Amino acid sequence: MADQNTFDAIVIGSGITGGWAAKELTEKGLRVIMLERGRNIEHIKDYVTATLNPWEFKFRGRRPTQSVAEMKEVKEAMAKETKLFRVSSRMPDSPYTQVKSFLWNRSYNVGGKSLSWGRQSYRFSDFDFEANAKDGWAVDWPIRYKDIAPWYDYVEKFAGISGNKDGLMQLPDGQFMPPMEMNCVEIDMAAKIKSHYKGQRAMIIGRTANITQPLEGRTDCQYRDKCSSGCPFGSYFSTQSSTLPAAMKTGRLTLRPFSIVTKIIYDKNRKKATGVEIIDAETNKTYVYKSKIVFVCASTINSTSVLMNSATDIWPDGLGSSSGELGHNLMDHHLGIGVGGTAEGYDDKYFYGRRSNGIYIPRYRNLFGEKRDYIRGFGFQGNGTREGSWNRNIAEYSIGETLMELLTEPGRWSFGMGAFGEMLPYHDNKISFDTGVKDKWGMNTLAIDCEIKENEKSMRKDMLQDSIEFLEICGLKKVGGSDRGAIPGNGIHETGTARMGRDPKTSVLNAHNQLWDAKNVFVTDGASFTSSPCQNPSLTFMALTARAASFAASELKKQNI
Amino acid sequence: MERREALSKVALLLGGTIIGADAFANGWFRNNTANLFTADDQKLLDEIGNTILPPIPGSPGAKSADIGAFMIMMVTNCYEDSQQKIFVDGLLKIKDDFKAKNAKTFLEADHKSRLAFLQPLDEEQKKSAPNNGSGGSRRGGGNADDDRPIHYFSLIKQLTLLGFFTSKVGATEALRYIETPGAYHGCIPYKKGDKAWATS
Repeated sequence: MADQNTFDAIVIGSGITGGWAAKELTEKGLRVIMLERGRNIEHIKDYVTATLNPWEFKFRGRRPTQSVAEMKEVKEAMAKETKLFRVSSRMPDSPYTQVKSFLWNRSYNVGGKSLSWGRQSYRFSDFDFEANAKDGWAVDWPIRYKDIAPWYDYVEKFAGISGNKDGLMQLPDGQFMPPMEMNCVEIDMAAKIKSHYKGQRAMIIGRTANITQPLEGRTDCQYRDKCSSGCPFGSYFSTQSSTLPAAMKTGRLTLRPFSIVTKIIYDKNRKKATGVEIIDAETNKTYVYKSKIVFVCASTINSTSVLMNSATDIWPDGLGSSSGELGHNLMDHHLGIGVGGTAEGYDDKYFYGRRSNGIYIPRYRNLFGEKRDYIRGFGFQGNGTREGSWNRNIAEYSIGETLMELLTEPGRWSFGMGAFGEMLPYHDNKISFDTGVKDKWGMNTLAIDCEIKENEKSMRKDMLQDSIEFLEICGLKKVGGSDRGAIPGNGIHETGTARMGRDPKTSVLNAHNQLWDAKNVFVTDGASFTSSPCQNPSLTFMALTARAASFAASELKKQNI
Repeated sequence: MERREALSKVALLLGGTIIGADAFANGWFRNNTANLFTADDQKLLDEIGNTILPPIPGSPGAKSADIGAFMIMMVTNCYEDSQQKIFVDGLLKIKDDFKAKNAKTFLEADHKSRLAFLQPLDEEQKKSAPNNGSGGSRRGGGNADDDRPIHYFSLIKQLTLLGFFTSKVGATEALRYIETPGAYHGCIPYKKGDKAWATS
């Protein structure tokens, strides 16, 4: 047996992507170390707010203002009071520079953003994989739907995705558990949309990584809508609920929290990575781990950042930069357009349970022969609900008995939704180390230079107009829509910066997410995206990772890498 | 669903945020050692809260949730200095004005005269700032585009509603609360008088 710092594979990152890499590689017989820069979070045990009632939160979800230095106690209370797993762009130990406004939301802990994600899970289609080639934009994806479809099947079955088979070409059906129910307002809206647009547009129940049937070690969704506190039932997919237990079960996984990867170690004679160097975030000590393959799954921007820090003696811009595309083509979904309205005629209807899912309107623009003055498209996510007890607009009621009576009964039915728009890859939307600023551990910090451009701005006009039109044709009242502006990063769907492609001269990764410049290094998270289809990206991270892991294990066996 | 909710619901439900909610997000840190309230203030706030949300058949009033203690805790912990001042000055004004008008103290008065006194204040606060009942400004007044100071009664009303309906008695007696529903039914009959869910 090799020494304790040598493994078959190193996985950098423990979020949705890293968890899948660890599961797949260990299940194929490899000994794996998964490195996570943040603290550990243990499934169920560390979900300390998950079973608290509203009144057990001292500040009832609000936040106290006391001086942190003076009031440590309050600070701790505050951490418990608000969302347990913070996804935040404010991380004092890990600063970054916004050349233009960019919210870099991160979650540094075991499980990464898998603990706090929105769980919406949609396949890409060939409309997406062919888009760059057909539009003559950027470079072609090196894969097509048929290449990834079996891997979508595979990850959906294991992760547990609930949804309806809607038969839409632009949003392929998958291996779904039974869908969650729509509510009265949503059911009627879906029917009106279907008839008004003659089937060209659809409103469907969200496809979500909340299970509606039990899976091994996991209970079906209990409709508590407290996913962001961590689920004691393991009902939603996370590293902790799903991939980590599977990887641990093999006996071949080592998980190392507080491990900040400083670089991938590259052997220029063998043209391969030999391992990685880390700093222990707590002790500041440096360690080296060796392996035959490295999976970079640190989240889009951090994965590329690791590459940019590596092999700089050979390539000044880092490992994988020979094409000149590493760090470029940063994308996100552009958000900030929303619409709301009230639904009349449902006073005798209510709902039971708290559904942590909503409806989805898949893309319909620039498909089936339509051509707008922009390319690509957008989708909408939202939900109908009957306004709750007290937290609705109270201005219209006076105080006293009448107010109490009104507020103990439910209010109006309403509906709201927001748009998610595709953003094109632009070479000059990029990340770089041009800051001269070091973080707490002496690491280079990033400058992020990213903006939406004319295509997105043009698309946003349709996003707003269409959103209002949908609600109006559904007969909703008091319809109001607004464009509050798009700040890139706000979608938390950042992709690109190490794109896949067909040509080493114009891309960073090949069709197997394998680095052109080092064949035993794989980047399988959002960094690898060649374009940013408007569907939520995480399911595709999972499928690409499982596919690449299978390829890597087989190449390793054949001694090709 | 949290971020999605922010997208879809924020515009039409609350119409704004509760004062104090943005404190952490905006990096406000205050040095707070002052004892802002007396024991009598707490009793007074209990009764004001109970006038805003009095008991009705089928629901206890706000006092049953120790609403005075809750308001004091929130103002002390979650308000900026300027907001605290508005709240404390406002409470004093209620005390003084009530006595001047009614020849007895608020605590001594009956529910009817308390309500008669507070209702005009409620009308006043509705006119004082757009998005009333919401607040949420960085400057302790109105909404972000409005420089007018927020009315003290807006703050009292907000905290009463927040504190009562998220309390155990509020959530489980005035409203309906099920910790683990176990299922979702999107379309069930509702008849007038059925309680609203405490969480939705």
